Amino acid sequence: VNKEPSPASNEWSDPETVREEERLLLERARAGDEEAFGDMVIRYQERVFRVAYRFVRNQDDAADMAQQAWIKAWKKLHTFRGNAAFFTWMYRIVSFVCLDHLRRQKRLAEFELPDTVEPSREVGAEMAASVSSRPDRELERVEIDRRFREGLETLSPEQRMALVMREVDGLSYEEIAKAMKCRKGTVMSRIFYARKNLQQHMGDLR
Amino acid sequence: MIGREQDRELSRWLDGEVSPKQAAAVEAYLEESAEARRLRAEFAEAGERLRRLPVPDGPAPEAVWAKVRRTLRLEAEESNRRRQGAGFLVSRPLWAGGMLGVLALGISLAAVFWQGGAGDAVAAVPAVVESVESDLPGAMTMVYQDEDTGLTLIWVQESENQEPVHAES
Repeated sequence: VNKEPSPASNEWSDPETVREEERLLLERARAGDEEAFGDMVIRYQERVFRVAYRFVRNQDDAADMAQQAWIKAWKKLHTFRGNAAFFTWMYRIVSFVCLDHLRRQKRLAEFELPDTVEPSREVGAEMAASVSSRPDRELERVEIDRRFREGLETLSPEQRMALVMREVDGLSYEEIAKAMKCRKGTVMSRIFYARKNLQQHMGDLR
Repeated sequence: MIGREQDRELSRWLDGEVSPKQAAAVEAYLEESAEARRLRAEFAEAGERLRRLPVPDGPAPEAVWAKVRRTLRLEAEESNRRRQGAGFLVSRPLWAGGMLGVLALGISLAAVFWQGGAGDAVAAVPAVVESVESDLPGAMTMVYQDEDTGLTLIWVQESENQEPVHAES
């Protein structure tokens, strides 16, 4: 999980020094020091937001999810023993918050299914920017991207999250199972069906 | 390993989640089947697309922390208020006892006051008393004006052993 450098730690910082700094910050935060916890929020917020965005695919929702995850983290800080990296612990919290959000959203959507899936703003912007250069190939590429995003929306929250955890964050099945609180076999199944569903949704458009 | 089961194994193989024996079986499947090779390419491409999806910038971390801190403080205040409310509920029997005590004291004082007032009223009644004649044998009559009501009261007592007959005018 911890692949990217911490936003707060610059390239000149010694990783050992950073780890020690964070250990002390977390110790103070566990003792009730809000400002120490605030330092951790500032260090990790960008990464937490990116994780949330990959799961929920909406900027406002991702910002909300990240905020909720921090609030939850503060309340559960006494359970963080420091055996795993802080970000690994945060990753689990933000995954749970997002999964819960996606499940609620799915339940709501079952009551009000849209007739068509609207293309996202990003896709619209990409299309406008690209059609001017090589219209045919660009339009085809944009259409493939649109279909892919649409396919992602058709996956169950669990399938989508498992696939993102595996493909984007590089987690092993074991780590995904821990993060999603399910069995390894379930993870394998979710990832396989996510891939199959996406493949079928893309059809001949590749 | 046939059909969908082979595809499942292929998916696990892509993720490096198979044993060496299973890996050898998947690799043999890939070698012999063009369909398997197509599937592998499509699975891999989906992963590639997923990694390429852009992620916009989120809100400034400092602004997020300000919001988080505000929410935590509001929640702490709310929780304190609830605790105080719960404290009142816990001490409710004490409050109720106290209120009952005050009420009992009030009633006692009112009763004493009322009795005293009534005594005064009784004492004040026969301010003007005069005897009147009656034909009843052994009867004794009294006429007086009640100061409180302004009524003229006539009392007739037939004999000393009987209760008086009471009339108002």
